[in-house]
Amino acid sequence: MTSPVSRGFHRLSRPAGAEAGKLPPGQHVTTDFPVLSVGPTPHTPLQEWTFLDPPGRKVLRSWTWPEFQGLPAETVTADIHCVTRWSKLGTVWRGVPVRTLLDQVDHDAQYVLAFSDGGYTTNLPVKDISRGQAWLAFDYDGRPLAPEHGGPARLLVPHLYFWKSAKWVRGLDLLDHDQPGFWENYGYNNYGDPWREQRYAGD
Amino acid sequence: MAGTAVRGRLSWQVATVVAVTDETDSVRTIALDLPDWPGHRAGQHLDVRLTAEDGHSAERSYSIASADGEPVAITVERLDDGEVSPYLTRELRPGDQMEVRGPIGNWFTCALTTAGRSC
Repeated sequence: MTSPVSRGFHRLSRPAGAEAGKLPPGQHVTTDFPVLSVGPTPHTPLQEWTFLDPPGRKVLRSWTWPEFQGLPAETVTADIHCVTRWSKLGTVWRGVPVRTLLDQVDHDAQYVLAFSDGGYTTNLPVKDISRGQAWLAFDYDGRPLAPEHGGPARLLVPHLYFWKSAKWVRGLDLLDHDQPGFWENYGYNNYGDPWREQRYAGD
Repeated sequence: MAGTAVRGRLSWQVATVVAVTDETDSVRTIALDLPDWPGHRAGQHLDVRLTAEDGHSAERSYSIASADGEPVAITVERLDDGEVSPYLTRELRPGDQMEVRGPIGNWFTCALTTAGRSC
């Protein structure tokens, strides 16, 4: 279908970021950091925090907070894109590559279902998180990640819409099949590539 | 309630503005005629796509501001430095066309139960 012209509508100006090709279609730049959550913000004490501990399944490997902090971390500068249409360019994080965690586990999983405090889940193909494109982030902008932004630790998968970067993440369920997570079950796209504008199921 | 509530691909369709109502100096309700609308629930939203003569397009999401069964309407607040809301709240008039898809969102909705409607 050819889009009809909306009478009287004009380009306001080229949005910041578009010049450099940094803004995916349908997105606009924000300079603040919006907070969108379905439920209350969990506050898990660090001494109780563990990662990779699937409930009701055999635990292959788990890390306490000090063990996690002992893993080699990277500083990551990334543009992030929320499906609600804001993008934030040049955000700076510090985190452990997910690959580092997966490399310590003997598995042949093709997919993971990330799970978080509060019950949130989101699914990701292993190939999207095992090749240096995904981190378990614990610092944002030089400070410990605030609870409202997913602290103490969240996934950072900046090449996908930001609902895939699960806040308050506590583990990865390693699966041989794809299993939709929270938003994916409510009609959002299973993969969520912002450059192909995969917002909703079928996009 | 599961993801099956979204039936396949959400298609864009051409909506025609049937009425604009200024609620305040900066807020306007826009009623739309849509050729194919399955009905909606409180809390759902829709996407709007505007296309300029030079091909530039802009997409935004707006909450649906009318009850199911009434003409589909959105209520838009003008942000003066925005690209879309000044157009929708100042320039738009009945008969104008835009693209719309929806309804979208199966989570932030009111639930209708035997005990009544709860949000």
